[in-house]
Formats: sequence, C-alpha cells, structure tokens
Amino acid sequence: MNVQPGHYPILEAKQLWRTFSEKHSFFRRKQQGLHALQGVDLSVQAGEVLGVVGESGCGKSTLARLLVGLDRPSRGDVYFNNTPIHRPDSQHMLGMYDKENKYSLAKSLQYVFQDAVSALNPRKTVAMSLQEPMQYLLGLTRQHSETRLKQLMAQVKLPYELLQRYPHELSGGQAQRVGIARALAADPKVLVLDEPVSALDVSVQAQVLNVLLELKQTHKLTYVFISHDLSVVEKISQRVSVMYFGRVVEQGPVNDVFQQPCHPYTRLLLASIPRLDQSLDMSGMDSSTELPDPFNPPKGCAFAPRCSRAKPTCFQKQPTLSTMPGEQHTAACHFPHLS
Amino acid sequence: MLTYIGYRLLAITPVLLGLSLLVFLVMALIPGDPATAILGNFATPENVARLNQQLGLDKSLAEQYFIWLSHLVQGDWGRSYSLNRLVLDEVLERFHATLILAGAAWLLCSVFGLLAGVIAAVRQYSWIDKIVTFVVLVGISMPAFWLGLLLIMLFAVEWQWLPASGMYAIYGGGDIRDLLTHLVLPALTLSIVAMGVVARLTRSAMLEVLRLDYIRTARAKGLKEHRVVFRHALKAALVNIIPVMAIQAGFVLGGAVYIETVFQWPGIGRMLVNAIASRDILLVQGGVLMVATAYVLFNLCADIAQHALDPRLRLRNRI
Amino acid sequence: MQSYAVWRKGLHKPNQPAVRPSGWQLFIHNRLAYVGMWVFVGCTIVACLSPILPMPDPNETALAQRLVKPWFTQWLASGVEQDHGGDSGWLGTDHLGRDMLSRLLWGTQVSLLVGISATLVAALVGSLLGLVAGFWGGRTDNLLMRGIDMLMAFPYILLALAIVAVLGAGLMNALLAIAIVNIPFFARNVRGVTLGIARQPFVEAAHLVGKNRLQILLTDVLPNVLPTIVITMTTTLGWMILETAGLSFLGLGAQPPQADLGAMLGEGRKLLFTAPHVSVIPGLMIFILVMSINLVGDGIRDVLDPRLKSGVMGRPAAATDVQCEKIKSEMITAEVDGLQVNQLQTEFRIGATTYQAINDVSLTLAAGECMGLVGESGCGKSVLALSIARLVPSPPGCIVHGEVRQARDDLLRIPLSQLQNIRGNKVAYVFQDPATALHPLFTIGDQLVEAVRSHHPVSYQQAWQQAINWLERVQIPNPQQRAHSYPYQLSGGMRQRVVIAMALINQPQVLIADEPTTALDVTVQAQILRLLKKLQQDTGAALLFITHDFGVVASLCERVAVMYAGQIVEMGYTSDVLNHPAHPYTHQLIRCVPKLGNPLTEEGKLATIEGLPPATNALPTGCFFKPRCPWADASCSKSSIALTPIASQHWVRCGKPL
Repeated sequence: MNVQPGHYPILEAKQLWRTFSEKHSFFRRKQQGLHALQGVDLSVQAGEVLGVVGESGCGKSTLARLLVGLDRPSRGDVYFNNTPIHRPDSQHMLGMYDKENKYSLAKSLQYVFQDAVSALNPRKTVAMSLQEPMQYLLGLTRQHSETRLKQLMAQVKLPYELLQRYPHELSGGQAQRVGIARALAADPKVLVLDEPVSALDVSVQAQVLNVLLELKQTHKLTYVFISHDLSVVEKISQRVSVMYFGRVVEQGPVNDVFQQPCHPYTRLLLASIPRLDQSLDMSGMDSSTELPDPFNPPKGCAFAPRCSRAKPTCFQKQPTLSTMPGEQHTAACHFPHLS
Repeated sequence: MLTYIGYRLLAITPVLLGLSLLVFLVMALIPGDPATAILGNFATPENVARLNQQLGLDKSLAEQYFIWLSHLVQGDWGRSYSLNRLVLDEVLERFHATLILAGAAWLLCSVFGLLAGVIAAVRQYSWIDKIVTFVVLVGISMPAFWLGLLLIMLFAVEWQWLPASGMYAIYGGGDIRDLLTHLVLPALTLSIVAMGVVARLTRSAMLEVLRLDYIRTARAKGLKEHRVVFRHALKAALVNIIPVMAIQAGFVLGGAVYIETVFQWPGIGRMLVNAIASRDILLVQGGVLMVATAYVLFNLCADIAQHALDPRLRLRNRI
Repeated sequence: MQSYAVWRKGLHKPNQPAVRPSGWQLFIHNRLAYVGMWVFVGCTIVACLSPILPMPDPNETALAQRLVKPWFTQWLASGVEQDHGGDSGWLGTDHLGRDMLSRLLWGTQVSLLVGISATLVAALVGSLLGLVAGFWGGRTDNLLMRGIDMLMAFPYILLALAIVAVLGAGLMNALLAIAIVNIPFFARNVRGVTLGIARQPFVEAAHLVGKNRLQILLTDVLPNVLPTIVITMTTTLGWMILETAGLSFLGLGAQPPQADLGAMLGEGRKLLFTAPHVSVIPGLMIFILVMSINLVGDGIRDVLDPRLKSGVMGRPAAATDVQCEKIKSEMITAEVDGLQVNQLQTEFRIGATTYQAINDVSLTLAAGECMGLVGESGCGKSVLALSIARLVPSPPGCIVHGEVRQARDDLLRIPLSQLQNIRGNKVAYVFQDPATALHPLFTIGDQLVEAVRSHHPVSYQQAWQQAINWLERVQIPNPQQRAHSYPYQLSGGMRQRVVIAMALINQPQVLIADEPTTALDVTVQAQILRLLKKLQQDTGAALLFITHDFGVVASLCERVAVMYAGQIVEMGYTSDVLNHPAHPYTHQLIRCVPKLGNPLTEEGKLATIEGLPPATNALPTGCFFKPRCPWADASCSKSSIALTPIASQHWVRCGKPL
C-alpha cells in the first residue's frame, strides 16, 4: 500500500499523563493513584493510519478516550490541528464540554467503540441512533437526514432494512458497522477506533476491516487504530506505536517496526503470535508475565524484570524514545536490538 | 479483620450522632408547645414560661441539642409524664420484651426463608417451588396484624391451644415454657412477611449463582450436587442475602409495633403507639432512639459477617 | 455464561429478525398476573363506583341494627337462606350499625387512593434523587446518598411513626409519612441502575454525538431507567397499601368516622370474639387487593426485566438431559482408550423454537493425542465440548442423539453418580475465562484440595501437599503461600495456570480445553500453550483443544477438526488441513486470517467470506455452507452431505472438495 502520509500533524498528544486516583474517605489514608499513562507523545499525520498496539493494562484504551475527549489528562494535552482540546481551566469531567470546542471537535473527531452492541442505545433503532449526530452536530432535520441515512448505510455495506432494527437484533459485525456509520455521520476528519474488530470472528472481522479501508480512501480519513492484534494493525496502518505499561516503547513505520523490531518487548510480542506455518517453540523463555504495580511504577524501565538483556542501568534509569535505524523509527530502550 | 471491626465501630459514631440529631430535630419540630401539652390547656402563661425554662426550651436550638445530647450520654433520658417514670427505665424494660419477640421472629424468618428459598431454587419449576412461590406471595400480601387476628381466632379462641395475648400468664406463669407458649403466635405472625422476602430473594440469588461459570467448574470437577449447591452456590448467594436479612431485622423491629398491639405484648412498639397517642414526646424520643441504635448495631454485625464471607470486599476496603 | 453467549449469538441472524412477542402478549401469557390484573381492575372499578352505587351512607349509624352478621354466616348457621333485607346489608353491620358493604367499598377507595398517591409521590421524588445522584455522581451523589443512608438507619415503620408523631394523626399525614419512608427505597434502586447505565458505552457515545447532559439524561438514560421505576412502583404499591392500613389500624391514620380498611380492622379488633366479621372482612379485602397488585407487579417485572425475558434465569441441572435411544454400535463392548464421540446431536429448545447446536458429530480422540477443534462463534464447538461430560445447561440444552464413549462407558447413559466420578477424574475441563471459572470465595488451595478429595480418599493435609506440588508444576511462584490466595489476588495468566492444575491434578485420561487462552494476552498465551503442551506430554492425557485461532492449532495440535453450523466439515492432520484445505469453508476461512508479513489482495483488501452462518433454527437443506460458497451449484442443495474420506485420515463434508 502506497499512501503518502500528509505533511502536517492533525492530531497530537504531548506528554500525556493520566493518573486515576481513588477517592479517599474520612477514615482511610489517601491512596496512591493508578498510573495509566505516563508521558505519551504521539503525532498523527493527516491521511495516515496510526496503529497503536499493546497488551491489556498498557493504557491504550485510556489513550483513546483522552484523544477524543471522553476523559481528561492529568497532565499534558491533546492537540487537534494545533489547538489544545483539554483546556486546563475547564472544570468539566469531559473535555468535550468546553463549550467553544465541543461542536467543532465532535464534528471532526469521532470514536468507534470496542463493544459495538452496548455502544448503541438499546431502546433506539439504528435509524434513530444514526440521526442523532446529524441532528445535534449538523443541525439536520429528520426529512433532510433521510437521504444521508441511506448513503451511510450503503457506505458501510448494510441493507436499508436494518434501519428499523434494535441493537440486540444485530449481529456483532452489523452493530460495529452501525457504529462506524454513526461516527461518519457528521463527516469527521479523524476516527479513533478502539479495538473495533477484536470482538468479531475472523470472517466478519475481514468484512469490517475492508469497509474501513474503503472508507479511508473515499473519505480521505485519518485513523488512530488501537488493537492488541499485530497482524490486523499491520494490514491497516502505515505507522505503528507499541505501548507497554503506560508508555510508548517503540514507534515507526509498520514495516520497520515489525521487520526490524528494536525494543525487546516488541520482539517478544512478535515472537508470541502463534503462526500457521510454525509449531510451538517449546524452548521459549518462561519469564514472569506480570506487569509492575501500576499504583507504584518502577523507577527504571518497566519491562526490565521480564527482559533477558536487562542490565543494572535498566532498573535505575527510565529510557526515552531515541532514534533507531530507519526513517522515523524510535524506541525507548537502553540496549536496543540493532541488527 | 480486627482492624475492620475497629474501623466500622468508629464509622458508626457519625451515624449515631446523625441519628440523634434527626430524632432531636423531629421532636423539636413538633407543632404545639410541649409545656402546654404537659400542663394542659388551662395553664397560666407564667407556669408555661417557668416550665419552658426548666425544660431548657428558651435556649437556641444548637444549645438545646448539645444539652440534650450530654444528658442522653449520661443516661438521663428524662421523665415520661404520662407514666411518671424515668424514660430510660421504661424503654429498657420494654425493649427487652421487644428483643425477645423480634429476635425470635428474625430467627424464624432467616432459617425458614433461607431453607424455602434454597429448596425452591434447586427444584425450580417443581411443585415444591410453586408452593413456596405461592405461599411467599400470600405471605407478603397479607396485613400482618390481620393474620395475627386470624391466628388468635383459630389457635386461641377456636382450639385454645395457645394463649391469645400477653407475655406471661397472669396466674402462675413466669417460667421459660410459659414465655415460649406466649411467644409462638406473635413471633410467627411477625416473621411471616420477612420470611417471604428472604425466601424470594434467596431463590433468585441462588438461581443467579447456579448459572455462573464457577458452578460449571465445580460440576466439571466431579463434585456431588449437594456439595455444589450447599458449599459453592449457597456461600456465594449468602453474600447477597445477608444485607437483606439485616433489612428484615429492621422490618421485624418496626413491625413489632403492630404485632405487639395485636397480641398485647408489653414491648417498645406498643409503648410507642401509646406515647404518640398521648403525645409523650420524651418517651417517643427514647423509644425511637433505642430501636434505631439497635438497628444500626445490627447492621454493623451484618456488615462484618458479609466482610468475613467475601474476601473481595477486604480488597475493596483495603484493610 | 460462555455457552449461552455463544449459542445466543446464533439466535438473531440477518433477514429473519426474531419475532418478538409484545410486552402485553408476554404479560397475559402469565396466568396469575392476568387473573391478578382482572381482580385489581374489578376492585378499582367497584371502589370508584361506590359513590353512585345504591348503598347506604357508610357513616350512617343505626344503633338498633348493630353487629348484624353477614348473610352467609346466617345461612351457614341455619342452613336456610333468611330474608336479610336491604337494611341489614349483605355483609352485615358494625358496632355502630353502619353498613359493612358500603364501608368496605368506600374504604377500598380510600386505601387505593392513598396507596397510589403515596407511591406516586415516593416514586417521583425518589427517582429524581436517584437519577441525579447516579448520573451526576461526585459530591452530589455523596451528599444525597449519605442523607438517604441516614434515613435508612431507622427501621422504616418506626420512621413513619416518628413522622406521624410530628405531624399528628390523620390520613394525609399517614400518606405523607409512608411516601417519605419509601423515598430512600426508590432513590437507591434508581441510583444503582442509573449508575450502571451512565457507565455504558452508549451514554459516552451520546456525548460524542453532541448532546448535552440534560439531553442525555432525558433521551438516553431515563428511557433505560424507566422499567426499573415501573417495576419498583408496582412492587411497592402493595406495601404502601399495607403500611397505610397499618397506620390506620393503630389509630394514627384515617380518623373516625372515615371508612378506611385499616381503621375498620382496628375498630373490629376489639370485637374479635363477639363479631369476627367486622375485622375479618376488611382484612380479607386488603389481602385480595394487595395480592392482586403483587401478582400484576410480578407479571410486569417478568416482562420488563431483560434477564428474565431472555430466559437465562433457568437453573441448569446437574447434567444435560439426554433424550434418545441407545444407538446401535458395533463396538459396544470394546474398550476405548481416549475418547470417542459418535453421531452426537445437541439441541437448545427455547419456547417453540429448536436450535440445532450440534448436528451429527463424530470424532475419535486417541490416548495421548492432541486434537484441535476450530470454528467461529456459534458453530457449536463449545457446546460439543460441554456435551461430552453432559455440562450443557439444561434446560434449554438437550442431547437428542449419539453416544460418548470413554473407557467402557457411554457417558450419556451412565447414572449421574457414575458420571460425577468420571468428571474431573477421567475427563477434565479447562474453561475459557479464568476470571469466572474459579470460585471467588475459596482459596485456590482449597479448590484444588476439593478436586482431589472428591475422587480420592486422602486426608486434607495429603491433598493440600498434592495441590502445592501441582501449583509448582504449573510454574506458580511461591506455591506454599500462593495456595492461600484467593483468585482475585492473581493475574489472568496465573488463574489459568490454577485452572489447568485443577484439571490435571487427578491425572485424567482426557483433557478438554475450551478456548483456554482466548481471554489472555498474546505473550501470556504463548506461555500457557507451552505449559499445556508440556503437561499433556508428561501426563499422557488426550487433549481436545477448542479454539477459533488457526495459529494456535498449528502450533499445538497433530490433528484438527473444523466446525461450521454444528457440523464437522473437515478433519485430518493439521498440516494437511492447513496446507491443502479441501472444504471451501476451511479454504476461505484460512484466507481470511490476517497473517503477519502477508500483503493485502490486489484491490488493497483482505479476503472475506461474504454473508453470515445460517441460523441454527432454520438450517438450509443440503450443504450448510452453500449460500456463502463461491463454488456452490444446484447439486449442493439436494441432500445432506456426509463426512467422507478423501485421503488417508482426511475427511471432508463436501460434494465437490477442492
């Protein structure tokens, strides 16, 4: 796939931190916060697909919610077209509720949920769910949205009859396509997709991915595609960020990262995928798979306890993203694999 | 565990304080002048003013509360004018009787409610389940005081098996057997509604648990069915049943008001009704405080029991 | 429950939406609720009509006609119906000679009115508080809920008494007291539900379509909370009537001479021995009224509660129902080493619909071998796994054909106690989600000990030692201490190791692993797979490994069976099936799997299989894959197609294998 990424960053995250602190009641000592994101920098170019991969607990879903304004960062900010979307003076829980920003942002930045069925109001038909963004974001009346509804359904390759269905009458793949259609209804520029196909079967997953690939071409969309499945990310993205324990540990063009991974974690991830042409490697190392305590993050590299190359420095000093061989390829490791 | 109990004991202090404040405010807000109520409508203004001063009613509300509270803590609950007796003495004596009645009713409702619920769940849709479901429905639809009347008519009047009212026989009674025969009807009546609620909840909680994955695991392990039901399912269901059993304790304590009236049981409920009717405010206040405190303490026990049962709660509370 | 989730996915398929019975149809289907509704409607109508019915004034006293007995008691006493005239009334008179029937109907009217008004007041205020607290959260929630907790610290009848004590006795005050004490009940219920709904993704989605909070509260949250409010209202109405009657009974509610059911009872109580009808009749009326309301309330709850609607409230029995004759098998006495499944057929019966989850499945698992079972969700692979030890929830599951042979036994036909000896001992399971497979309230050591002791007569200490050994074998660090942990204290990977230890602790001959790594991260999955393989080789157990992932099968299993719509469509050595798939479905499915390093198709797309699997309650004739198969023609729909060998150890269910 030869898509030229645009030349300007449309969506950026700068030093994004998110700490969930538990409430402390009258009698209890104050508890330490859970560090979900610890200084994430990301930059999405207009027209590209940025894949974000990582395992559970790496903070990728938290990142997605911060990117679209469903949650507020503890520190740092998200910039859409160079404008910060979370203003520090806002008291609202949802960044979307900064009055001036809200409508313009939701119009150009949309979100696709992982659990497609529960992301649709169970008491609303597909048509009602799709009309809402047109009504609230574009100000279209019912009559005017009629044609657009049909257009949307055709774009996600669903029959019109489904417009009168309720969410529980849809299959997983259909519901996810309705979710995509709703995100597209206000004609946004950027879609943030949080594990959009991980709940689907492979054959259905391929159908939904094809819809996404086609829409990207026809609508000149930019995607942030979050997934735990490396092979899916490889198919759809141009660039990829690998996350571990609240940080980006490696990022760069998909081919560079997947073919010449520099960070030991990326290598472990790639080696762990069961392959059709390989039987199980029984000699694989069985180190601990436990993550560090997120309430009390380690001083050094979070991956060091699992890493076969770890040296004393790794436990002392936090590695930062530094340039690796290849265009725009960076990794956060003191002792990267350099082939 | 001990830390938790200590923490909970500390935590109920504000609840008890709030409770006392609420009781105080409610009583302070009663329309009408207590002095007039005590002295009657023909009292002279001077007498009223003097009594007001005596009662401390000329001070600010906050001051009154603190004075009232300090008296309360020192065991000075005032004097009931209708009975001409110390409130604390009266309340304690009456509460003793109520505790016997409510305790018996609560035991009945817990044991039989639990049993009926488990049996109905395990034999879902069988005739025994249908009977339990129907009896429960009848039980919770029946006015308890009416049921009490019916029982008196049947057991005390028609068949004369059991005494109709009171706590002890007037002549000769006084031993534990006498007490028990007097206890049967009121305790049964009082427990019937609560029993229905417990049975209903137990049934649905058991059904809920019985279809969970870990029950399937238990079966896949090859456990016998009684072990699956009574060890695995019931333990998990109890976590949800215990809070309801605690609420039922409140229900039997409150319901005692009716039942004591019907069966002439010399408990705190009947005392309260009489006190309200004669507008004996100090007595009402003492009675309400006593029962509410008992209920708070009971809820505390239920919390601790639930905590002991479910290790996950220990994590959530981080103690 | 996983198996439910899987087969329920098969229920709603495109172009044939499930016909939903309306709420009303569901309601009247419930006989008791229907009867209750008519009784309630009847009572209400008569009570409303009481002012215009030709009856004496309820408060008109006639001291000459005191305590006249109702006509039926007179009739019972003498055996002859006496003339009772219009004056004495059908139900007799009370101690002041007032007509009981008239008072009863007027009293019913009062009770109903008071009950309904109190319910409305409590529901309105309580729901509002609950909605606000649940949706806004934070400090508002804290403050409101603390207040409510404080109110709930009183036994509520006592609270009502205290309120009446303040306001003074009277019907309106009683109404108010009852409404106030029920507010916390509504507020709590509604808050709980609101809290759950406010966290649902669709509420977040509503933020993203540009609605403000009020719009979201009114159009997204409220409609989903409404059923709870209605359920709570119908279930409380009965209580409210009982409680107001109770207050009147104590003389604190309705004041004489007003006719009120509770007050009538209270007055009648003093005449219990001389004229029981004065108290029995109003009590009966309250009972009938409340009972009918409760019946209606239960009916409405059953209709509105989504959990009850989907029929999952059924209690699965200890073993799946088996409803079939013994099939004639030649190897009836031969001992099977490993496991043999012959012509198995399992159905789910929901109402009048039958879903054929498994359709004629036969497979043989040799001792010590590892066989993969692959398919997409809803293809029946989990149901097959569960059918083997009869663990399919029943109802609605039912095995209607076939046999499962292990050693000398047919697991479908041995008595339950014998089956329980085989489960966990000869045939053991590892389930998909380690988070839910372990009992949360027992330590893992305890659960392992239980597994040992249910099959071997050893002491607790011996079993505990064995448990620790096995925890060590599944590579759990510090097994001595870990054995005292509860499942929630372990990570997902650790829990799955415990589940594996629990399955293998009795050295079973057959281990059935139902998607054991699907819920785990990929690096953890790799470790668990290695562990399973190693232990399987060490113990010599036959392993049936169920998964949707061809990669996992390739790395673990010697043989593989591919399932589609409840049938095995292809079976053979893993390398044969993966490299030379003969069934179009297998061929297409393998093409769909995104593989690292493989490019997209020429059009920049991924390969797909168009369409969806058939609904298992309406299977097509002939080949089930025909509607989606690019090679299909008329011959494919003629008759059902059998699994036929195309090479040694390679079977295909296709008329024209590739």
